[in-house]
Amino acid sequence: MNRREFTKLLGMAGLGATATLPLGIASAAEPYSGPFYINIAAIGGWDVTSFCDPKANITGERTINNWADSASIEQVGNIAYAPVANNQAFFERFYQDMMVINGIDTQTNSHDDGRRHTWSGRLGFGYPSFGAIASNAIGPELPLSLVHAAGYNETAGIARFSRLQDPEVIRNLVNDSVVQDGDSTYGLIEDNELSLITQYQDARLARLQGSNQLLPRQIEGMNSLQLANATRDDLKLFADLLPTTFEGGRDKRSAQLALIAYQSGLCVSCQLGLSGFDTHQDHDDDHFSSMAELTDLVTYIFDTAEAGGFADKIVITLGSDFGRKPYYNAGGGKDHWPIGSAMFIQKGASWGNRVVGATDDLHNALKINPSTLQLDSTSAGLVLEPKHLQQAIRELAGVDQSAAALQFPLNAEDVDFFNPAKQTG
Amino acid sequence: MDIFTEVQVESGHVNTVGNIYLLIQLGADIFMRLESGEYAIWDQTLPNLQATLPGRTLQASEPITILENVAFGPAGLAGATLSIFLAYDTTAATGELYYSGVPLTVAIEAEVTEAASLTFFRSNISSPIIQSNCIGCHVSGGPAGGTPLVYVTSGVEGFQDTNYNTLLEYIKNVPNGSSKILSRPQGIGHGGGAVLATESAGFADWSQFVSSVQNEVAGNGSNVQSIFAAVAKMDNEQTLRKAALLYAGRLPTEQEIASVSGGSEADLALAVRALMSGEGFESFLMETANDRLLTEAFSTSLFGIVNRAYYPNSYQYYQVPGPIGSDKRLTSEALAQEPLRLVSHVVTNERPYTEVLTADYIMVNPYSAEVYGGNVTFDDAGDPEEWREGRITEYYRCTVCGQNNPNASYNIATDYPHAGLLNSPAFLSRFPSTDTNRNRARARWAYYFFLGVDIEGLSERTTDQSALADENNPTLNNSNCTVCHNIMDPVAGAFQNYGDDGFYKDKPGGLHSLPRSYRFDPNSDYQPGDTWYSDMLAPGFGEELAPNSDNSIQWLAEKFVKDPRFAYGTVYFWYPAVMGRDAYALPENSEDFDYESKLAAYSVEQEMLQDVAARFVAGSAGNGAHNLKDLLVDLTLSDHFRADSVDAITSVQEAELDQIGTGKLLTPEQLNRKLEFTTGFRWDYGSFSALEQVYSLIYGGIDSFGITERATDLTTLMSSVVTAMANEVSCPITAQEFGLSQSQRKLFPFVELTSLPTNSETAIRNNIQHLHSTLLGEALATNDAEIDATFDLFSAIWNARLAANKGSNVVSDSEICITENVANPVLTDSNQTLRSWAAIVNYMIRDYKFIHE
Repeated sequence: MNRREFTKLLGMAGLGATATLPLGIASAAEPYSGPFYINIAAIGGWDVTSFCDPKANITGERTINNWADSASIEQVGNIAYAPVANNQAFFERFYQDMMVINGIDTQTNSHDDGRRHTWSGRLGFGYPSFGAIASNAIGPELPLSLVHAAGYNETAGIARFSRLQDPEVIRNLVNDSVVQDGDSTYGLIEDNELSLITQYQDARLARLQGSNQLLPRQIEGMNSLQLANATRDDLKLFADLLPTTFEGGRDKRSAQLALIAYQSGLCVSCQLGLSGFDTHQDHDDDHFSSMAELTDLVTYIFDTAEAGGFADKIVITLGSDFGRKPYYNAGGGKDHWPIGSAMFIQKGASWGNRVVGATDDLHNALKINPSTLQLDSTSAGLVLEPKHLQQAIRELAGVDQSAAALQFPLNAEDVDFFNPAKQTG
Repeated sequence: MDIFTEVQVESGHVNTVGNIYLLIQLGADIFMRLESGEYAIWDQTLPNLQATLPGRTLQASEPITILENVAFGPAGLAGATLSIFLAYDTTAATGELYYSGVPLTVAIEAEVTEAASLTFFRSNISSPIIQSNCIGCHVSGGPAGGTPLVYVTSGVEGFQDTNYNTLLEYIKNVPNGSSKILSRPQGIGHGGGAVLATESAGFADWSQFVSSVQNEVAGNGSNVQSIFAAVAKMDNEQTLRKAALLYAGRLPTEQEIASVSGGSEADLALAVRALMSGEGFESFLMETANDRLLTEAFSTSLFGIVNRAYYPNSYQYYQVPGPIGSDKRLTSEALAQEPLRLVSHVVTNERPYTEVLTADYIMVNPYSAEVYGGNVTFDDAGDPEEWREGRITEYYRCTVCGQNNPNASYNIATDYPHAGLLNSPAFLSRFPSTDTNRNRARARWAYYFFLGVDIEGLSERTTDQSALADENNPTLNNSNCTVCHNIMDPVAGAFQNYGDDGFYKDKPGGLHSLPRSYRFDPNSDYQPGDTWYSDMLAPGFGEELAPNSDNSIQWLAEKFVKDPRFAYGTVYFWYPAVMGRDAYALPENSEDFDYESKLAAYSVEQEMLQDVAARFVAGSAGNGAHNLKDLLVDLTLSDHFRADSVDAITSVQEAELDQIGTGKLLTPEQLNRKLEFTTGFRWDYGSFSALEQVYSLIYGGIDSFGITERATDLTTLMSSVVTAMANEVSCPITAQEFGLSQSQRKLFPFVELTSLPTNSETAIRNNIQHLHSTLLGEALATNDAEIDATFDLFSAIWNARLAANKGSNVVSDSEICITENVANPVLTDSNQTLRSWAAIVNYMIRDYKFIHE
């Protein structure tokens, strides 16, 4: 069954009004080719004082960064960065396409709370990730609309995420009615019989769905099966693009598969994540190594997208649970700190090469004026929080007025993030 | 209440024929009164609007009785607002509808009666606790006068109501207010220390009061009765089927079904309990335990658990390949499974579940005993399935440490102080520590797994950066930190003898596990002989100190199992395996549109969990206290498990019943067992299970390492596993079945391959009925529409094959039948019925009801 037939089927089943998984958006009936929203979590809490909110050491204060004893903060364009890990190459390549948001107060030092807050915009339970909102608003019927590899995975019932682990297994699965033996392919069942089975199964599922006595869980399960049945053939588009070799590392392979899912027109958003940032001891070595992996991953994504001719469609959000304390503990580590940063990257973005938000020399968040973006310690100023970050990405994606977004309001003050004429400092 | 109204018909419409409508809006739903007097939800489309007085000759005044002698409270409408609309149409103005633009609004307030919690507060809380223990500090101007809990003294008029309302507001509005208000008097996060001992009568009263308030707050017009009022439960037979698949990995026998058919709940409880034995039950226990403990992560890497220096018997496997079936692999699997085997051992042998923490032994099979020692005798030294109680005797501490140190000496024999799961090497390795974490992660998980306490959830969420910049040992001194650390750190201390990797007293000399970074820190107060950090709370539990550093983990185990939260923690641990989801979290954001519904659902569920926990402790089923089988039976008999259908669900109920009842997506392991039992066929690729190994992760399973949460919603990719299964197994299953005699068959006991739609419709229908029952759990009459549909499909496939002049060979290039796992397959099909039946198996295996339970 192709997607057009599926749309017809939706009308027959009256599912266009399903609240949890709003199906059947006409504009998404063709392969998706809009922006690809990639969210990358630095899992464990990143040290932005050694990244995009660099801090030198202050005489009379504890050492914030060992590197600052022998090196200075670097700057490219309007963006300052720490001269460690692979930062130089990263910032020099992307500074014009990047907005750095500093001084985000996650209001917690708990990992679970921090992750939830950063990626949903709310400290409390129950809000979906931005990826789930984008998936729901833009391509709810796409079979790989939301791909999840690591990090915050709450969907609040408005989307379903797919895991893409083993590409060879996936390749086999999408050809579910044939088997391969060497170069020969054999059918498992005659096509016309499979069509009959499918037709009867669809009719049976519709009968089951027609009951007015179903529990919510049953409705949800049947809707998921119906959606899966209707879009299963589309997975071939994904399988057809799978290469013969894959990236060796888990994180890059996850990114590679997500990019293929997007290229196949089946994916709107993905959630990637790298561990290794929770460096309570031996901070510098371990953290900078993870930082290099993170920036390398972003570079890999853009390299791959450029080779595929769709780099202009990539929109990356980088974030983390929170930040790390602006000093070392006895074990040479850095503990949790509620103030962190985030970053948007989009090739050719008009809002690039800018920094919004600020912290002081000891990495305390400072208030900014939401309109001018300048420091503002008056009552008109505000400290940035994850809700502002999430509101910004919703607006950037044009889904802030979608039903899914309105169902989970952020109540965030309007911050003029994307005005190219303004920045902090 | 009575409501009498009249519709004043326009003069031009008098004596014309028309319809009169009555609509009542309740929340988001609009109900229309039908001619019968019953109410139905109106979908707000004019074609579907039905009149309450249809085809009426309209008079100038049409009296309509809306309500007469209706009591709203008992109807569960307290707190609701009704908006009543009246309308009529007439043949004199076709297409027009005349209606009351402004509704008659009726706000129904609850009858003012004193809440049970207030009555209890007056008798058991106010004087003996508030005025005796709290008022000294929690009073205006007192040491706790700046907290949200400020009481008034008994000299103030209305003091009881005032103090009650203070507590009520705290519980209602402070995030995790209930948890906090329970933990504060125990000294947890409480500047005034402990004022109510955990086991005291006062604390019991305090708990009862908080629980009572919680239920009343959550209730707010919604309670157990209202949540489940419109819900129909599975009957005994249906419940037994679900339970058999869940706990035993099979369908119930006819005898088992007969034992509950038309029987009582007690009969059902007995039958469900009887399912809890054998391999299927052990699989259930171990999979569930691993979903939490995740020790299977090490099933291919024994050196993730042991170390060749401390455990010299493991040296034989050092740098040795470990292919499947090798001694090294079997040893790895044994070490990884050990904690799960302990759980299984305790439960299947009907021992008190407390033993999972207090066991003075470790479970070993011949392979793990080779590493751990213990002088255990096995019946078959090569049988990895033979598990026995043993001890770790082959662990050696070091006088000089470092496995790569040429001068290392691991020569201190050890009498390992077993404390069940708490110091299982696999558990300790799976939840490692660091020099700065200092066993806090282990404490966090121990609280979570065994007491059901999520320490991170207890945290006040600081917005004060300066609090976190505190340098004066904030985890010990800063209230922003101590709120968690006062709970966590003593328990972390109880793990004092276990190093970062889980090895017992692993530092030089074998006397402690304190890291070098602490011992040699010039700023630390370390003294030789110390076993714990001087700048942390001392090892203990709550306010109690562990009396002996050598056995603090065993002491902790005893404290844990005696703690009132242990029973709740056990229910919480096993709940997801039975219900297919975690228990609800307490909704925290009152601004959410469905907050009240979620709170009601949470409260009802908590009430059930607490009830099951209480029965678990009391041994109410008569099998002794802390019997896990009884706990599982109680969960199985609950409304939450048995809810199966609902009449005319409202939007409120939709939120209240979210994820409740039947319709759980089977895990890969459960689906595999169901397939194998119902069809007699294993879907394997060589020696690998397709579902449990090859497609496990794709199908929502876990690897216990990077992927630790099961998927509960079917995705398109997951569904391709189902269709691959249906396409691959339907033919071999059918070929296998018809190779057996009718009496031996699971799926085709009523037909032969000579039974054709043209000559054996009855037999075919009977067999289809059997398939619906066996594979889908449907009890249908042979003339049911579903049987008709399946028969039609069978006939359609058969006719298509005849029309295509198919030969008698079942196998061809376009329809391979993979029979490598079948002993005696039938591969000739001159009547074209084998493939037709295979199509029916295919149709059913990909069905919603086959992959959900």
